[in-house]
Amino acid sequence: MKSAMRHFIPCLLTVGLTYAFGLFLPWWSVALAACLAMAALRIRPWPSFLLGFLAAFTCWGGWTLARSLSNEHILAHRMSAMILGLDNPWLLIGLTAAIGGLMGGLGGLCGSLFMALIHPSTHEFEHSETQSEVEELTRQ
Amino acid sequence: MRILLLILAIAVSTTLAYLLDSRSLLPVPLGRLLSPQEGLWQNAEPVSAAPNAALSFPSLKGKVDVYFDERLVPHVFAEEEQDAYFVQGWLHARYRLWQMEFQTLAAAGRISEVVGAKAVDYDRNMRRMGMGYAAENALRMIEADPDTRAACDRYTAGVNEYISSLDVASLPIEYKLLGYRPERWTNLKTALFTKAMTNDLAGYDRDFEYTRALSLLGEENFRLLYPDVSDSLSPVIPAGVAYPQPLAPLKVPADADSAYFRRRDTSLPIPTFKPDPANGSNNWAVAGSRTASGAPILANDPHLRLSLPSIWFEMQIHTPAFNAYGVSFPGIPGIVIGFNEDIAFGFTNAGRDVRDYYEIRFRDDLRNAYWFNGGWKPAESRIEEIRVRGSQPVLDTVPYTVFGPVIYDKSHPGKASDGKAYALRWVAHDPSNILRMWYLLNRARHYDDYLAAIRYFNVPGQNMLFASRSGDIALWQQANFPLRWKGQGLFLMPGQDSSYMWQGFIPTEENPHVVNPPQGYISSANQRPADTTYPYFIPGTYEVYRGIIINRRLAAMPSVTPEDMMRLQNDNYNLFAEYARPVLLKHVQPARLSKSAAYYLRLLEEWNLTNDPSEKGATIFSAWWDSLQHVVYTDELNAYGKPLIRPDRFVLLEALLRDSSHRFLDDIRTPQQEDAAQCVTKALLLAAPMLDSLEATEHLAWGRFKNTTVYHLLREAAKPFARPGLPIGGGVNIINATTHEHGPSWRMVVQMSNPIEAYAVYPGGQDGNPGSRHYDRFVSDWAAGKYYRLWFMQKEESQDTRVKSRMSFKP
Repeated sequence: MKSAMRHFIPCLLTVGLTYAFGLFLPWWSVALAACLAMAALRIRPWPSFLLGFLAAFTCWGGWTLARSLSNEHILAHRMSAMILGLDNPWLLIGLTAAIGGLMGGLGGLCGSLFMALIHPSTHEFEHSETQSEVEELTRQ
Repeated sequence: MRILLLILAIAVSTTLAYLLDSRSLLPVPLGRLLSPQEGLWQNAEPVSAAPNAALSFPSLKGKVDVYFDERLVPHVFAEEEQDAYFVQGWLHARYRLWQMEFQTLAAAGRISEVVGAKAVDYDRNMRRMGMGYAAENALRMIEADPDTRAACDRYTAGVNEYISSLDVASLPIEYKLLGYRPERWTNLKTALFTKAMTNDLAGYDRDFEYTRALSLLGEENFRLLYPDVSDSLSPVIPAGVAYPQPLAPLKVPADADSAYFRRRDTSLPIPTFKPDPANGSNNWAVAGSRTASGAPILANDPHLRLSLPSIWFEMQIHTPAFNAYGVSFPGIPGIVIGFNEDIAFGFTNAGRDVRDYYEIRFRDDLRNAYWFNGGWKPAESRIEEIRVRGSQPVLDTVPYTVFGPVIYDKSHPGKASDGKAYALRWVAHDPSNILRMWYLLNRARHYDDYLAAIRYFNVPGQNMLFASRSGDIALWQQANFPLRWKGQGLFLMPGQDSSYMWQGFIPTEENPHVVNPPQGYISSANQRPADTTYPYFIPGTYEVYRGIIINRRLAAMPSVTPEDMMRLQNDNYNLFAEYARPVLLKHVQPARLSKSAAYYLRLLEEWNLTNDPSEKGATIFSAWWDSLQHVVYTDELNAYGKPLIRPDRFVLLEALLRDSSHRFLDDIRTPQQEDAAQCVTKALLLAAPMLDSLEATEHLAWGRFKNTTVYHLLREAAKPFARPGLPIGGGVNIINATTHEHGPSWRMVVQMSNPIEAYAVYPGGQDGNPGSRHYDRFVSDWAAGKYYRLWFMQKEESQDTRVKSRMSFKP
């Protein structure tokens, strides 16, 4: 349970920041969102990439899916044919999610490595430390 | 180590972000484009979405209610007339912003700003033609008139209010794909739109082609191949109408024979970017005496290049001053084709030649003085700056003469030219306010109002059809048509003095017209407006067969209903083939045919002469006739190593009908003498392999062969936005004039009864967004020949179930 929470919180924070940044920053702010989230929660590098990817992938993919479903894929049919040369809405939705995921993952990694650099004490990525913060967050 | 890792991660992230944000790696910025927050997914409109909003704009004088029906047609009810134009501008921008800006950029010769260097030639041609100069001249007149000025000002304000409400996410998808932003709308852009239409409809000419042909072929052959009038003409104005004789004869230049008709010049530019000569239309009106209801019926289908988004936007505008329904052009205020409570109006293209060229002799390469009336006259110059995306601007100095802009010269020689300078004289350059015509037509109540309105229209020449609830039908061919002596303007003219200039315009009241003719109907289909008794020389690009078949059909209809008119607009009968097939069958030598050619001959014999989508005979006929023209003319036309244009379709047919030993039948490359039998047989044998491959791929049926397609305005670059392979018949010379990518862009039938009964359809949809279900909503119904009953909404009907959503605009 605790472990699930530990993964869920940074993802949720990434999604929230992605939306918020998107209101006034360009599309690549998804990377910034994951970067800040992973840095703030001091996630270790490898998980930070995975969690950033997962969060951004879900965020972009879900958002896109919702829009395209309500559009009955009218535009996705046309745009997949134009961009991919293949009339397949799902491929385009998948590509969108993958681009978001990749940017999120890389952003998360940057955030994590940055924190590791300025806080060498957390360099070893003590579980306890991260976990206590997570617990703190969930209590709020 | 850690710091290296961090630097590496940052480098990879920013590089990826950069690449997905730019066009340096991929043709589109994929990250930005696919971002759910700002990219294309924002253009994926929920299919259930309907426009509902209450908006407030301080510049409005009163309240405007907009009711959208099920087809997304807005019915605009404005308390103040000027507010209606504001809302029309806003709605045009809401649904068609990209197209209206793109079309006016194209008119101004500014496409290079969007697509880069590949459009420079196109842009330069538009600038050289004086499109910007023409629009500025028009704008001065539009803005000098308080009514049209106010309409345009408010329209522009409405467009700009919509533009300023846009952010990155809500931009139309074409801006995202091409990577640019809309600029502010201006009244000049509205004027440019009218010039774009003028160029489409009155920008086609053959002066260079004819001059070359005359020089190479000689006068006699020229007249045989490019005759002025067809034998089978069925003119717009019924034969027998008496025309008044002109008061004074025109002065033919003394040296016309030597300096003009016998001038030989073959190093001429080959004009490019010419508008489609098939831009035409049908319209007809039937008087109450011939209709089932007793009320006149007006029908109109303008033939243009079919496009998505459509050139038309359907709407109703109701103000205290008028109540009009029909289609509008996104880009200009008002209703362009349609009806109001009292009258209906529609247009077809006149096809009359209103462009001529004059050879200019400049003093030197500075091109700032030219020889005119015995002295060096200074030329004004207009410096055109073509801004080019991704590279340096291109500057072009265009000299302006008394005739008009110099379209070709040493700095812009055109293809194949020896660099001589030619100035363009074009009625489109003359100051005029054609918007005033629509301003007045929208509120016209009687024939006299219509007559007063059309006087403001100077170009492109149109057959302006009128029908009123009070029972009148009328048609005027209206524009400023130059007065020409016989032969003037067919060829390039000397420009060293004023002797070859136009000597004025045909008096407006002498333009061909007909009011309530005894036959009880009027029609026009781009044919020559009048027979040879019309006392003026009126060259042009005229259709022959559509007019004949329309008149034949109308004459045979006793008690006409709107349904009859809809059927007639979709009529696929091939009159040209009715005349031409007997010629083919008479001359063909069956014994010399291959097995497959004999099979096609049999199919052609069995063909019912209609170009329905399933008919194989239509494809065979078309291929055979094209092949015959090739067999007959190619030897002569290719003999000089210079491009010559192929004669009109009727020329060969009429030659064969008159005389089966027509002189061009002989192949001048062979020692023996060919005759009609040999040519016709050879033509089928040559066409057979192409027909074989069509048959093998199941493309021999006319609809499959023709493959009617409505392209997006970006054409090949946006192919998935097109609607290809539409199952629709018709073709050239046929009432249903639908070809591969050209045809009836709006079909309308209006019965001026009480209440008015109107039907229409167009091959597009109200919303220009390819992510909207309204983008191509009407295309399939259009192809199937279906119509929508138009709802001429009354003010009290705001609670009607046909209202699907509503917007209100308040101060």
